Amino acid sequence: MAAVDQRRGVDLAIGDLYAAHARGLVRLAWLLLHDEQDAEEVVQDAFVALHRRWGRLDDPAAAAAYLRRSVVNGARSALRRRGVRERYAAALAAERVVVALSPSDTVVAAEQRDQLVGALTRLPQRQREVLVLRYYLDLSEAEIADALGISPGSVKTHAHRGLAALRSGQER
Amino acid sequence: MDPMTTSRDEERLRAALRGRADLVDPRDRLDEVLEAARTGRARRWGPLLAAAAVAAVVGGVWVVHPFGPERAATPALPGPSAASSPSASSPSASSPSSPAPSPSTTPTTTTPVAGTPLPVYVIGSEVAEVPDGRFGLRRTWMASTATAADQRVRAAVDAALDAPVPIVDTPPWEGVDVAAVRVSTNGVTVDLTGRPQPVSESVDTLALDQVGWTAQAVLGRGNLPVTVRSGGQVLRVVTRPAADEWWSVLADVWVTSPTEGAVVPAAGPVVVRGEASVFEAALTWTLQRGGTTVRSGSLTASAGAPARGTYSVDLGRLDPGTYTVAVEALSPKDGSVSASDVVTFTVR
Repeated sequence: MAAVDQRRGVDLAIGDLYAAHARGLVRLAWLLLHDEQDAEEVVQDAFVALHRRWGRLDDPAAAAAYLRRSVVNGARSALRRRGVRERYAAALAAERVVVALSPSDTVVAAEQRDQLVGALTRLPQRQREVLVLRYYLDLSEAEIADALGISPGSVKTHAHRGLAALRSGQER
Repeated sequence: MDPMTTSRDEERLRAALRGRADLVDPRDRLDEVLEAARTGRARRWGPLLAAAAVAAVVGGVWVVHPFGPERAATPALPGPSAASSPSASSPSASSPSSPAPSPSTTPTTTTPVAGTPLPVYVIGSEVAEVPDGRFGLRRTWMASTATAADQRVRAAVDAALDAPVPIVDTPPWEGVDVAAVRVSTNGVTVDLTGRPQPVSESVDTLALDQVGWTAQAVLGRGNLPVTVRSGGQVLRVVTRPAADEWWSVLADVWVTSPTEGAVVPAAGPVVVRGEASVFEAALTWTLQRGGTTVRSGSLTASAGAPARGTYSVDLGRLDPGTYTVAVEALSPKDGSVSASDVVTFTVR
């Protein structure tokens, strides 16, 4: 099993990356999917894909960005394939409340917080992705553009529209 | 966006996202990650394969090898039975000279049976353990309850479109589904909801081969032309090339039995079978248990490249446990692994 010997070092590197990033990535996936099991699976797939690709990564330091891209793509596929989006849209429709962003610096109460996070799910996919990457991961426009495979200009547009929709309660 | 007026909204959004995300407490899946990477199989194919193996046994039905007669020595049945009872295997492959396989070669039925596993061709890596950007089709199996020919083709092609491709972030069929399947005596038409996304020349070609080979294998009616269309436009009419050109489509080394995740009875011998199209038909095999090599050896397939030969290794009886068998072809140039397949199975 000559090829297997080439892998042991990769296992260790993946283990380190997993310890550093897995939890945050599952949380990111959850914000895009609203389903814990699906989120865990998307992240698991991302690490498996990274493992398989390891020898071909130009720069192992780029692994975190690669994982982010994989998770965003994986979440998108999961939404489409598994009908998660429909399930959650239906669940949220029952408690749909227009969420107005009030000019307050106070800590968001849990209920309000969940409504706001829920309102995100009713945004168009790109807007939701941009807002989550920007405000959960605090990524720069360039990093978001890289993660989503779109131009920095589009990032700006999606962010603007997404925030405007949330603010006005007009999200779809 | 004006930062002066939106900063508070942005802070609220930031706090809400963090607050909610913090409630998500995922379990550690590192072991699963390493296991999936080691076996070279994607997560969701494991259950499919295992289910297929179970279905085959429970149903008591032999599944015809999709191209059985052309690969006479290949066992007809995926899964534990083929691995554990070679004496019972493969009556369906009893007519090696027949060029046109058909369901009539199954011993128990003349038409596909509901619940029998469906063959699904996926794009795999030539070196199963360490993908290096060279790809070939591998055959996997899925359980299905479909009975009608068009439904069976549809289910299998849908699964083929859904299959991940090693080291490819966005597989060619991402977002594409089967819209319709029409089976006639002269051929098959598969209408898709979209075109493949370009990945690389080899993957783009294999993406269409996948659809054609899967549809043909499900039907088991020989080299039927498979017309793949999108939006009414023909993407390609897929037919199989001559057998000595299959190396250009199929991964060079396949382990066909045991199947991934199979459970093999400890009472009988384990026979590893497969197909290979490799230089001088030369292969090495390694059996590992818990990361330790139990046995290894070399073997010769029935034919060397460009032909596709078959091989088998009788491992005898094995103690209960989980084993991994790797079959590898070494490059005549530098001795590195040029092609391989790896299967993990359990003896119980």
